[in-house]
Amino acid sequence: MTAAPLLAINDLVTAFETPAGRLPAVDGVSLAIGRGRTLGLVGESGCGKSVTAMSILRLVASPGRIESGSIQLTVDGESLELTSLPERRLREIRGGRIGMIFQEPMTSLNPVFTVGDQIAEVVRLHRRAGRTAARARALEMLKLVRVADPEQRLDAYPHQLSGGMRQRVMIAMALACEPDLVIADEPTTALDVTIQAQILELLADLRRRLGTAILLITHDLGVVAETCDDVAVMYAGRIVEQAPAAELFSRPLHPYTIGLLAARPDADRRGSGPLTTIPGMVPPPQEFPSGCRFHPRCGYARQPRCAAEVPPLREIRPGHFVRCHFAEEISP
Amino acid sequence: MTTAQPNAEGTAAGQRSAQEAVEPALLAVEQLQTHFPIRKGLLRRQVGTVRAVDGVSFSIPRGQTLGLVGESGCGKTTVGRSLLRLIEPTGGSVRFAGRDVRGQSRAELRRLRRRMQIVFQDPYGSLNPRMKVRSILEEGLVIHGMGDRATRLERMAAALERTGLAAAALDRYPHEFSGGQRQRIAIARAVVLEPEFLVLDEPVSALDVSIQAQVINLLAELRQELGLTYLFISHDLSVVEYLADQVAVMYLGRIVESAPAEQLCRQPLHPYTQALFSAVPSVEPSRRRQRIVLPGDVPSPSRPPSGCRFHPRCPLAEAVCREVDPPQVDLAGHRVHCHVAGRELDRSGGDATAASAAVAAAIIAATAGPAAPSPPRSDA
Amino acid sequence: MKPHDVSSRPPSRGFWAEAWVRYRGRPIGMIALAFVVFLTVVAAFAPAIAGTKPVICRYKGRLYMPCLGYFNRRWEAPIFTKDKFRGTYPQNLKEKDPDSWAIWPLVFQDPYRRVRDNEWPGRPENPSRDEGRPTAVNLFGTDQYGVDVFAKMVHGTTIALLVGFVSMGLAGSIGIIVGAVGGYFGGWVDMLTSRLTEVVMCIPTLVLILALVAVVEKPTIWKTMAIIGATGWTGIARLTRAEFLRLKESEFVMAARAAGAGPVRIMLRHILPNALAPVLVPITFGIAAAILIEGSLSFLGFGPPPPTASWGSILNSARSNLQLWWLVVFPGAGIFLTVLAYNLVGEALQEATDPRLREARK
Repeated sequence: MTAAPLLAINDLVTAFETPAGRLPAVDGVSLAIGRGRTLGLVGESGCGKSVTAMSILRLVASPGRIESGSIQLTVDGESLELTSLPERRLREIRGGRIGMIFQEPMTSLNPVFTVGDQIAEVVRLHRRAGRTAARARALEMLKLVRVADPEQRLDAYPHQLSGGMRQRVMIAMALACEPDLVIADEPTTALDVTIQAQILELLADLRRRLGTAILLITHDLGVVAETCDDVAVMYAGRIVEQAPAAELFSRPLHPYTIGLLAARPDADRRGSGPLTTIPGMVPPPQEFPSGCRFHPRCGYARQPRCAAEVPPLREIRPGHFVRCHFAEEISP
Repeated sequence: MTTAQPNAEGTAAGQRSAQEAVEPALLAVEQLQTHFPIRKGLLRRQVGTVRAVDGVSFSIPRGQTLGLVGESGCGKTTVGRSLLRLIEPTGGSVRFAGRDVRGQSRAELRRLRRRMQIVFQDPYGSLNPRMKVRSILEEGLVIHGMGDRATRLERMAAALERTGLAAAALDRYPHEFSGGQRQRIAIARAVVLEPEFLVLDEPVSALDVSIQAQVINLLAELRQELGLTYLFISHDLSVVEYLADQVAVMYLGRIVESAPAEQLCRQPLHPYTQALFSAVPSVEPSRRRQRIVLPGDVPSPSRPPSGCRFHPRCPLAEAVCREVDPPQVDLAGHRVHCHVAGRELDRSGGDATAASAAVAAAIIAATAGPAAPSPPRSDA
Repeated sequence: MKPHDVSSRPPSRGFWAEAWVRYRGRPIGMIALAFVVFLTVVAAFAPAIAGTKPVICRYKGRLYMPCLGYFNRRWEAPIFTKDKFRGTYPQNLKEKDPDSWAIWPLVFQDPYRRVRDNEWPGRPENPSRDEGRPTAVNLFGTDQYGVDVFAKMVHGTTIALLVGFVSMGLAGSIGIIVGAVGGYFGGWVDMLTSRLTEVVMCIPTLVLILALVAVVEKPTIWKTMAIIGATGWTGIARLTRAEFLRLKESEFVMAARAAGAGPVRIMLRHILPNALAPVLVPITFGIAAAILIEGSLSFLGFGPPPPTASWGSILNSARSNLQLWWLVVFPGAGIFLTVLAYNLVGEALQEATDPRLREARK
């Protein structure tokens, strides 16, 4: 990794002030994404992966608030601290330097504007482009994301398109201003497998051609394994394991990652008895356990250390970080 | 209990093939059709028909699990609901334990429904938020007059315990439980009526990965202990492969291929099945197949394509596919509807492995095409 | 597998208990609700608050409650008619039975007639017209005939509340039934109920009532309420229909059908409790609207016939005597505050029961 990565998140804490108390959805997350790299952020619902993504663009919905930590974006040799950037400058970053793709393209596209208008709007917001130029750019983008009959689709409304087609439009919008980073929050979760395959291939192809870095947020380990260079696994607001994808999937070290991988059913596991499971359930933020947050569900946990002491994120092997007291013993 | 196929071990008859020959299937579906009218305007004139399920046949022997896979809109959910007549089928026959479900009167249907239960996908939507778990579980027992107050309570506590919940859950509302626990309640609601057959409509799709495995294990356990027969509906091939004995793949209202689970997974013959398997992302590089990316979207079931319904997206489509609906080719229980696969089977003399490989090679040859990353195709 | 233990958690609260907790957290809603409760108390105890008949009295060795006569003539014991009281109690009681005693209403004033000179020992006759401004004796003044406005207001509360509850009770019942049947059964049933709703929606309530007044010989307040109710259910029906359409497709209804439940059970036990909260809100707003309609009718002179006290009819009497400002201000404020209170209650209820607002709070 180069001296200054494209995006460096350091010790980010984002919490929600609710009547039930302060809920730390993201609790000390550090991440780095290099130029043109793909980082997968994996975890189950409520682990804080989406809040992390929203924090980058300061789009966390009230009553959520970034409490501490830094988010540095390095573009054109200049480092920008996104947590303290004035709102006006931040708007230039949103959509301009960092594009965003959401899970549900039906609700994230405005139903009353045509697809062309919506792509053109992004272009006009960030580049002083005229009406015709913006429309031309929108057409170009639709061609880039391989929408069939792009000239006709330009004047279509979101509801006239299929789910896969809408997701292509979302990608076109995110990429319209040639951002350095695209944040994709569960981009294929709402799609069928054959459509998911189309979108994943498209994303990989666009990355090769445009050199855009991607932060891919998903709960699907398979998607990460097939598309990402690096992986970070989140559990209960913290990153528990981080490594290059090949390394993580061949030699997982954190009991949670090991458990997730073992819990996946498939034909090969037929007949080998019941699936290995992680007992219990993901704790909601108001019930985060002390010490290592995974310890109540962990088969390797040893008292009193795991319940008392928050394990640090340690580099066990080159580039392979784990937040577990006993990672060396678990490692095969 | 770690047996290779818990269900086979669980039933009285050990030899599956012998059992099939003697005992008729618990559920036999013939040419099931469920069409929905599309109505428009003030007079609600019918302007078209959605052929959600259009001629589906299968049978499930007692104690076995049929996995029904397909993408959204293929009609798999409608099949499940049509079996229980939660949606009225418009054609074909459904025989459950020798009775024609479609011909039953209202009272007879009610009695049958105790024996055929269903578990839905969304544990948040399938439990009435205004009812306590007690009322949710008790309702079916009351309707079917099963036991007095005390026995009902016993049954409910037993059902909850079976699904891994404490009896204290009875006095709670659904919103007090997590998604996985709610799905357990939904399963308890079905099991408390002591059914023989369960339709499981995407029962784990809405759950987190770590919770999915818990519920899958629970379902396998219940199948063994209670001798249940399942129709397991899912879009997730890996779950179906793990749990089902027989798998049927649906596309646009029809079953395009069905076979014993292992066989289907090892020797898929239909190009759609091949694409479906290859599209599942896997963490293990060894399991990763050459990915087949199908062009376009699933067409609308209100205007299904002529001939083979898969032909507009099929890399191997030929002239005959556009016109002639492919007949079923049956190779010792491995059934497929495809002109190309049928021909390959003929050529290989009934060797499914060779035919599957030949079809796969043909698809890869066709999709790799001239330009490297597939150029814009006729996408719609 | 370890059973999922839930016994350690605090006891469960149902939806309505939860809603009540959320409602209590809204001060404005609570104040409005307190005002509505206050009005109900005033209506229930109106004869004990203002009147000229004793709340309880002992007469010729027996106990009576003549004040009940304000609710119904026949509840005033016949002995008082026989002994020719003619509605004036203080002196008659003393004259005809020196041993008698009585507990009097808080304010000795009658909503239906002018209190005469020395009817209450030492108090002069009620002033009338321009002299009837508010005093310690006539808290809200008197109208042009010398009838006490405070007494009229107190007794008019009953009508204001009844109009709201009865007409919206009727409208709610019709609306929920029509909407539920249409939404649940769909098809031609739905088409019939929807068209019926649209037809009724086109009927202007006020005009229909005016027509009734012209045709019917004795236009009582009950007939007015019936008409407000019979025309005011359309919004409720449409909302109920939408809720039923949405909920009948829900998976818990499917599950109930799979368990063998019939349509009546599904509608009453599964759909209605879930549809009730959103329907309750327009009913609350409807109560406010009904009170306004009754007020307008009375103001125009089509209200209940003279002996009945209603806030609107006080306003009506002010129409030709605008210099008597107290005839405008007090009933006007009464109507305004009541309508406002109901609207605030409705709003708070909406916030306390709307699932979308609830999710946003999580």
